[in-house]
Amino acid sequence: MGLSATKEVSYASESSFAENASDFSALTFSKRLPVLDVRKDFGQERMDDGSLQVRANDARPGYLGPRKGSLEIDVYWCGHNAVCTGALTETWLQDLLSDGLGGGDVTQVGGTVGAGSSATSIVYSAATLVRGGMIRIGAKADGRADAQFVVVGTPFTTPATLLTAAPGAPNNNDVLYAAQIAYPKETLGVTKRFLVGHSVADSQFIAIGCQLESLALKLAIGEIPRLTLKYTVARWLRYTKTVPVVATLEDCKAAIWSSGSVFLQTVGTATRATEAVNEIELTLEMGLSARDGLATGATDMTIVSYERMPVKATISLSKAFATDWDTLYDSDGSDSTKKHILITGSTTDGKATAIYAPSAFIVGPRPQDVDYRGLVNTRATFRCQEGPDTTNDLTRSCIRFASA
Amino acid sequence: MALATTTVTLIIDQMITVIEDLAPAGAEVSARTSVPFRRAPRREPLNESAKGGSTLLRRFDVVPTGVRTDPGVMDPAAVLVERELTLTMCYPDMPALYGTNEIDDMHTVAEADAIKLHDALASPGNHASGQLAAYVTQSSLDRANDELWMLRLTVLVQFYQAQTLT
Repeated sequence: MGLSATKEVSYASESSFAENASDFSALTFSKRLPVLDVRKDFGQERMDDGSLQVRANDARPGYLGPRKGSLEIDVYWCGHNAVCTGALTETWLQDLLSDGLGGGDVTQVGGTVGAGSSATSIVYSAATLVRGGMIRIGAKADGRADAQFVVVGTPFTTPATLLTAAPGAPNNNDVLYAAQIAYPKETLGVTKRFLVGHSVADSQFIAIGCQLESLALKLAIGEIPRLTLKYTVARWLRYTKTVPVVATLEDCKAAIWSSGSVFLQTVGTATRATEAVNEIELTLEMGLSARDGLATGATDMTIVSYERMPVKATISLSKAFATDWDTLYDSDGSDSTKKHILITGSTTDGKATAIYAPSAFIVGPRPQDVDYRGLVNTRATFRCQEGPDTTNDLTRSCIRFASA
Repeated sequence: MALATTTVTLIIDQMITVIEDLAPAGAEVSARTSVPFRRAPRREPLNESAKGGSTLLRRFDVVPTGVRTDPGVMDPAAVLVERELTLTMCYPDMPALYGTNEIDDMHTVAEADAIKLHDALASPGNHASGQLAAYVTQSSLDRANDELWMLRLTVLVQFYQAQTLT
């Protein structure tokens, strides 16, 4: 007997792909995850023997196929889980996202704003910023930067130039909050191993050589944002462990999406322009291709490595009916018509989340009238592309996820 | 960092602290804005039989009223819980109860307070540690009797609660 709805889900980063593939006794786990749901689809087939038999009722046992599978976890998109006024400590979710998407940055350090700052030029002290990074300034309803996220351009040393203007010029000594950033990169991060363990004796399952296959976001204004992370599993095994394997359950400080803003402006222009958006959807299509090979560490394993397929990110926005997106749809897609989009979801320190697309253009159906709670709205879908600053992987990334 | 957990009791305590720290709705509404929000005495439940003396103005209580839901899968050591709470606030209203200069409608005062209460309780910065969200809806403002308006807000709170399974 045992409850199916209570499970320990823990993970660790692998030092090398699918290490200890045939000796699970050596596997350790470092962090226990606060999951909303977990769906494991671990499989192995005993293939039919298929040989002809002399008598009609006879049969022979078949042959074991490879152990493969997938693992899906639903989690809340939490913030940094601690204040962002100083150095950052990488959270479990930042670790999973940055290694799954390929890119991550936690080197920013929070500090304070100095005198003489404007909405687009930030004088700061005791802080470290990165080019293409995202930060948050001030307090909600302070009448200045309003705790909204902004994007750092170049120079990123003080005084830093912002790619997206703050709502207003911050005052001397306003707080500058650093943020963790995860972004898609052409090379993948390290693989993970997961433990899904019931408290029932012997009912513990370990998956190794796991890489993020897809990331789905469920965003709704007034709701806590949720992420579904789906992993491809190179090999799995039932392996007896005593639950809990990891003593500490990780923290998850999340907040509903409210008190934020949607900045939408022509690429290269930092002047603040916001849209009163009612609905936000983000889709992220990113294929993961597994290479099969013979040189695996176990007799029932075939995957030897992974490679990321191109990432396709789209942001769909709905607002009260207006014709500007219809007009934008007719433009030729030249650089002068592309937009950069910064969505601040929430603004509470330790729980704040945001998304930035450095360059986006309208795709899909022409914006028309859509129903929103009985009101006339219009909707546009923006395809995100590489940013105009091609200095490094972060500045090139087509979509960035910040948590602070 | 370990998962922060909490309980309904701690969340209600936090809500009371937040509400008592609130300044009542703007001075342009009524001179009665100087009367602060205060928790009602524990032995005097706020209900329709309450008598509308002026001391009841902005007295409130918060009690768990709705069902408890445990959504989804969680860890053996913690569970994600949703619970519905009801905030009841009193607005006594009788002719000349506050003197002859009070001419604002009491429902106007209560509605203005409701907006403040909504914003304060829904703000993530005001939540108890371990609480994820508070979804606030103004469920009613009605006359309980000839002497009393009662404002009710429904607050759906979502939080992590520690559990021990043996």
